[in-house]
Amino acid sequence: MAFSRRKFLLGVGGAVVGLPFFEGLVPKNARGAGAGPQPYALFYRRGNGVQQAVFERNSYPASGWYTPTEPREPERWWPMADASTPIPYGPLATFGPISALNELETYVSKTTVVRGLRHPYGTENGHPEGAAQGLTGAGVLYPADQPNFQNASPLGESLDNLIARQLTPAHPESLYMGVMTQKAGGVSWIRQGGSIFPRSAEENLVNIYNEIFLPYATPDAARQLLVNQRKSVNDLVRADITALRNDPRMSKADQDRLAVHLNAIRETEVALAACIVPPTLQAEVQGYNASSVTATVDVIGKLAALAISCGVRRSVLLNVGVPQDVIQYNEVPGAGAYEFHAISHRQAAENDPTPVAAARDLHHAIDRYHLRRFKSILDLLSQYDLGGGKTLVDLGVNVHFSDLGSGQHIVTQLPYLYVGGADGKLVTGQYVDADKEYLVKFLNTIGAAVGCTNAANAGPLDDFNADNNNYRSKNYTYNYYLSPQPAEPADGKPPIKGRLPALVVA
Amino acid sequence: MLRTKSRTDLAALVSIAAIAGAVGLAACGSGDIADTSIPRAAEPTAALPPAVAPTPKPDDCVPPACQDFPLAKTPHVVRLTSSQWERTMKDLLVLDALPGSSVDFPADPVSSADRFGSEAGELIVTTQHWAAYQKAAEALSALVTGDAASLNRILPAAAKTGDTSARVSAFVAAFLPRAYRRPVTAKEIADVIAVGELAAANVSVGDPFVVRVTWILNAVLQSPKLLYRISLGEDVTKDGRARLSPYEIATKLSYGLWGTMPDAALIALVDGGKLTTTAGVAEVARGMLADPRAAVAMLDFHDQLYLVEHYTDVKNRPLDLHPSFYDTMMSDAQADIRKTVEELVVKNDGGFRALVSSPVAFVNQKLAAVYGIDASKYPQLTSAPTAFTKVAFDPAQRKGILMHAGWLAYEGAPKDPSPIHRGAFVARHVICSPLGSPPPGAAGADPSKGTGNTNRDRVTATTGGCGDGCHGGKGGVINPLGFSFEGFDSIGKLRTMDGAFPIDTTGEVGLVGAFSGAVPLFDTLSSSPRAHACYAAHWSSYLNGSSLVDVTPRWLSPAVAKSLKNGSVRDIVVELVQTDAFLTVSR
Repeated sequence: MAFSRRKFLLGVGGAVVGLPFFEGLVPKNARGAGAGPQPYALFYRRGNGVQQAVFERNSYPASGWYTPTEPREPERWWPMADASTPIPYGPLATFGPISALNELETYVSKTTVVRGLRHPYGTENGHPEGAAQGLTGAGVLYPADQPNFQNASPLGESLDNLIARQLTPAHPESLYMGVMTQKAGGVSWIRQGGSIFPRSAEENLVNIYNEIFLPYATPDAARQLLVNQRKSVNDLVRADITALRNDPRMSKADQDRLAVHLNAIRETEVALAACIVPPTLQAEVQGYNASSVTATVDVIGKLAALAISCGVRRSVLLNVGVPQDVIQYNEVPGAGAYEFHAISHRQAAENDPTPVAAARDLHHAIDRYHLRRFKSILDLLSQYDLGGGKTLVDLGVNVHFSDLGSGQHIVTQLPYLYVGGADGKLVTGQYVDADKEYLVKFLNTIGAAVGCTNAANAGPLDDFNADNNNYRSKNYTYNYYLSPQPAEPADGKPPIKGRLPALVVA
Repeated sequence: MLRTKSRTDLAALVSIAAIAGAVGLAACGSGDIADTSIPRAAEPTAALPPAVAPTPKPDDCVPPACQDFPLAKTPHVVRLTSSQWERTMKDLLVLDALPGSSVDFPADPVSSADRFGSEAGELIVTTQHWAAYQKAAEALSALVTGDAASLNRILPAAAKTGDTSARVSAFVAAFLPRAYRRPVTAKEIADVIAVGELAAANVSVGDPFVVRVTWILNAVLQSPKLLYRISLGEDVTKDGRARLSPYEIATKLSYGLWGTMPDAALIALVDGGKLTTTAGVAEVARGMLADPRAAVAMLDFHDQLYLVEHYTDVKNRPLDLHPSFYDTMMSDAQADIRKTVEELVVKNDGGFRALVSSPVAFVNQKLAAVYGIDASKYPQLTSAPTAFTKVAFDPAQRKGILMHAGWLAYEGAPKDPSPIHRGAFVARHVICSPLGSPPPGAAGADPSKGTGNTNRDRVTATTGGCGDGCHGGKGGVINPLGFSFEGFDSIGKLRTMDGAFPIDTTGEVGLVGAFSGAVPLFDTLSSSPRAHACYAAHWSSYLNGSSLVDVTPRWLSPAVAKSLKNGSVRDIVVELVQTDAFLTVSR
């Protein structure tokens, strides 16, 4: 009998601790049996902006550029040579010890930090508006066009779902997992016909495991029975929904809603490629400490990495917290006593504005904490060796972002970065000045790099949500942080199109 | 309609920017809300009134419900909410308790502090929903068929003995109409039986009948005909509308009033032709509202209207300023309002007037202290300090739901009351006065940093730049309405002084007139046609699954008239279910 490294490992009391996730448990010769990994995008979203110098607690400027009335906070997000010396734009050899980005130092050559991105128009009302735009780059829609921070939705889908829809039609929604998101929507949005619908993150990782990986891990007979039973149901349901959709009494919106349902069925159908699931994974998804952000992201990272490596998903979104993140980060020393949102405003609690002196440093510590979590996923992906010095990190693009600039809801200086060049499509190891560029151009660049095309299917993606990405509520009267003010759009025109050339490999 | 709610954690921020976002600080302007040009498909916007309203007919309406507008476009498929799904599963499968499976479902949309009701367009089936439905259906079908007694409860007599094939047919013939809430076709029966035959082909162990029924149940529980409320309407159309079929009306009534599927008695009424006439619908609705199950809708509606679910978002108040605040105050305050609503409109058949003018409350010992209730009058507060006791406020000082501590504290800031929040709520949800959008620079303001001796002075100074037609000034509504509550501090305690200065609760609003304090204000509102219309309009939105609340349609008038004549909530609902807005769908 041929030697099986996998069986050998299992035979040692199931003890696999310390072994690399992929190298230890996925024999390379098994990878070829499935679709195998393809260029992908992984998004790590966290809330409340980052601690950067632009923050000022008391300022909501009525007009013009930011006019400080308090001493600036130290700059600890963007690359800094030391406490007072910014690293210039251009090739990056280090993030410097001051910046939170230092947590990614081992990936500096694979990272590009993009500074200066902005949302099309202000979101000073609050977090849901930032979340609505963070992956859509689209305009914001309010009920009856009345600005309302509790009721904001985007006018376009989010990039994670566009990528899934175009690149993995069998799974037209991204693999969207969340940590303490309270099942809230706000970050991921799907387009169906003319309508945009919110999605909520899956937090029950057992469901993810069951949906994607259980059939790999169950005995053949039981798996086949499950497949057959679900097929019998899905066939019946699909026929019923199709008949309903075709009923002439249905409105377009009815049909769109039912189409979302049809897509969901297709998404969850058992469509398995060959993929070896680490035998410990099921126990991990069933037994991790869900009250620990660290433990949860660790398991999410494994599910994401495996889904990508197996080639069953090419778009993954990980979101931590509700759009207004109120997690008490107990794993960050000193931060557990406060909700993160209060920290981001430098105050004691949601409804206690007492200043907290330590909040600035705690925000920075939470920034570092998220980057460490992000790095833990990169470390997993790095274990998958593609040969030639490349790993799974290089095959895709891994984006870390917050959809607000700072805790005070600013919509400029958005902290976006990516690690991995999407199989050579994107430049890496760079610090790029994208001063006042629209976020949607960054999203176009990411989407195009992994293989998405524009609306006419006539070239790489360069018109993401262009039908509405310059829309501003007619009643939105807040001024913007830019001086001079941008020209006021008229019903979304002109659309914002194009990519960021500085990020694209010539 | 009934919706599952969850804590949003979008609690009102202290910063004035968040206040502005939440309630429209400095919401100036005429309040025009119609803008249907937003380039995105959304059915509800089609209901917005045209810019120029037609001239009202003077003799057959109660102003402001005197406008003739086309009825709103309606959805034809609406997914069950999680709470509806839970109750449906319990009733359909004759379970002893709610299955609880919806804990794995993505949360349904909730109304925020600035919106009422939900939209069909938000009730979709995403991948997460479908995976959860699939899992729940597989588990429930296995649960029911895995226990002989449980299975027996859903089997008709003809399915309990005999040939397997005949038993399966008998089961499907009886079960499917209940699941789909209407008579079914021969093809629908055949399709489902075919799933049972697939089961037999795949599973060789176990009772062949149980094997078939397990797969059949699993399939039916995932059917769109069960998961959606389908309202296609009858064939005849008039003015672009079609009347719902009697079974569709029964379903809409049942989910609207009971939060679950029609029961056998209701279906029997349909079969008997009871719902073919509007008078019949009214009679059936009246009977359903007399059923204890109607408490589900009446309590859920007021939970949404008065934002009760959100109260526990208020975690603390500075104890140096508010020593009476305690950890569980807001959950106690929730119980107070829920019990009060139950007392007023469920047990005692009250209506809008009772809700805004009754001095009844339910308190435990700690909450009684917040209200300043003399515990010696209520011995139970001492003998059972954690139990809730029915009490009565001094009606000269405090009465009506909006003078209970829960709402007052929720619509308050940590230190001072928030006239902006309180006033905006009353404007939007008591008199349905449209508010405009914030002006430039409004987000930079913070009343607590304004100048003035009292909270009123500081708010006035902060919002003064808004000019007429917004917070204050000519045509302003938010501040005057909010200032009427200045007799209550930010946790809802009575007060006569704001620091060293006497409070001022006077105000005047065009739609209401002059008043001095919340009690006189609500005395006026309790007889205000506009306030009654606003309440009825909220019910219409609730029953028809819309977030649009409009007091102007003429068809609202009968409900308004009934409400003005001391009609009960039940009376209002009975009027509303007779309207074309309830009984028809768009084509």
